[in-house]
Amino acid sequence: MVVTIWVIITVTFFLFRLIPGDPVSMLITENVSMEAQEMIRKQWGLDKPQYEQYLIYMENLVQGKFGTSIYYKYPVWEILIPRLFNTLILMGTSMLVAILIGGIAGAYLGWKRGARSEKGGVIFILFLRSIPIFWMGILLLMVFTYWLRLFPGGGMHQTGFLSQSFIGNYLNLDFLKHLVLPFLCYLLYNIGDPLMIMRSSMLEIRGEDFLTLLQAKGLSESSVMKQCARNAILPLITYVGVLVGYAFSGQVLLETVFSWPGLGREIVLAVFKRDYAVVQGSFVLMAFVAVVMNFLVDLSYGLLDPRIVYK
Amino acid sequence: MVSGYLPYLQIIKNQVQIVLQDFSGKLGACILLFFVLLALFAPVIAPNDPFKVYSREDGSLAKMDPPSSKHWFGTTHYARDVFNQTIWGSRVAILIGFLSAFSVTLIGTVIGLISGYYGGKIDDLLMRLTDIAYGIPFLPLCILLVAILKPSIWNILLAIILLFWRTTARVIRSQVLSLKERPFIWSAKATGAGDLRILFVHIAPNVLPLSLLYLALGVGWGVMTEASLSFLGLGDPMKISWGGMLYDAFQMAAMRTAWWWILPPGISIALFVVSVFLLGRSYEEIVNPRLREP
Repeated sequence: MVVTIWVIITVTFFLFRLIPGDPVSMLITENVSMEAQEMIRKQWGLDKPQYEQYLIYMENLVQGKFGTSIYYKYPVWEILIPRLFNTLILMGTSMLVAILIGGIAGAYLGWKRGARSEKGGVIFILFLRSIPIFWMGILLLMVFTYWLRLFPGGGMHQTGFLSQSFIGNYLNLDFLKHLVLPFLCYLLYNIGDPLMIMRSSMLEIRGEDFLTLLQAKGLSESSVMKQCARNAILPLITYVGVLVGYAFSGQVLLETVFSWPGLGREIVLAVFKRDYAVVQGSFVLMAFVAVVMNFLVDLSYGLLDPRIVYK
Repeated sequence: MVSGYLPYLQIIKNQVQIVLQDFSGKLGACILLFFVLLALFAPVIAPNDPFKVYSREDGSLAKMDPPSSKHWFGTTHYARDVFNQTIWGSRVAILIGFLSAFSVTLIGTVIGLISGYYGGKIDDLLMRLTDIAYGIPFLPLCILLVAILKPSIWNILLAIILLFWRTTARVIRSQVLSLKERPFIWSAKATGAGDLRILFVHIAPNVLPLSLLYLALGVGWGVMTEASLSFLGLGDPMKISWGGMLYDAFQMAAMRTAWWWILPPGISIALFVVSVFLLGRSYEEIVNPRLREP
């Protein structure tokens, strides 16, 4: 786990230094003298050899310092944490709902194997899954923002919004209005996978003897289905861990379409600005979130399936 | 179990036949064939250069014209024909989709075979590599790679190949792990077959169906990734692609006014991707017989 994160950090560190173009050029105009350029370079530690830069970077990282953004002139930490929070609010809520709805619908479809509603449902879900998330976002904007004028066109707040407190940012109607469209978009995008996984897991459990026994005992169909779903849920939980790794890819596109001030959008902006520290910081945070989620998922197995014991 | 000299091509032919018996397999194959034909005959269907700038009859530029008999899908902000661009965009999609899927499947399968068969230190090393490939946020890394290497379809291809082998490798490995303990592999060993022979004559034909499944899905992922990168402005500026069209449209805020600029490329991506997913789904039922209807 630690090794994985370390390799990711190292790879991105050196990848970033391969980008043609000098980050200093972002800070200066053409008529800055050579001496001044040197000074700026020294100030940012860019005059040192790369391995030395790497060692300094790692040393700071272990102490929880992500460096300073060359564009914002702020510590990266201060830039990324609110953005990570914005990302998690959007991603977490809609993913949770997607897994819940997808899981239940998938269990139902798996149970109704062979029915016409099942076949149609599966093809519909496949189609939903094939729609690029950014295009779905654009469509939602087209219909709900520009045509029906129901929701704002992007961002997290109205322009000019100021809040006294951190929590005040999120606890108001304006924020909720801005959340609706990206939330819906992400929900539609993510609902397919949990549904299909739950469905095929149900199909595997369905033929087992204990279900026949329950049926023979005279239990209603819905409670037999519940027992089946209870036993089929593990693959879905495994998937949640994997999903978080993938989720950031969708997040980048979603945040770009809805100009949501989150980690994904920041990474795109920072790549274009050649803001080393911010991109690296975002990478580390994303990898960290993914790894931690996977760990939590591993732990939850024991809760859900008593046969699995940790030693 | 398939083993021995049954040629790979024969296996592929059998599998394709089974897929085409299924409804969703047929549907998928038809849509895919449609796009392949579009790409092949693009110069016939849309003879004009997709970058060509059109003018109206009064001589002004045909900017943002709605669909008409002259421009079936309307025109863009740059007075280019949306129909033309949509047709030509299928070329990039097919090229990226198939090339990336073939390379990813090949790499993933070989890594999975070696890792599963040899086990031990080789397996540990390769699986750590796979873990790392899984831990890296995919699209952000592609963005980074393409930004480093300059936007072009070859670099997008490279970025996809560098990371996407991970899924295939894992799946193939677990399949190999169970295969290599089967009696027919033991008997092959007892007759003195070498490692390479066992791998490619006895094991590989049995994981081939699984590889083919991931090949189909890989085409979809490849097209999706190309579209996503192009949408972020990292596409090849010299090539028309569906993602690139949507990038232009989004930058020009076409969702306010020009629905005809938004719909065709998006529907094309979705249809193309769904066609391979449909193929993959009907195929999955072959690979995993438990999913088959009783």
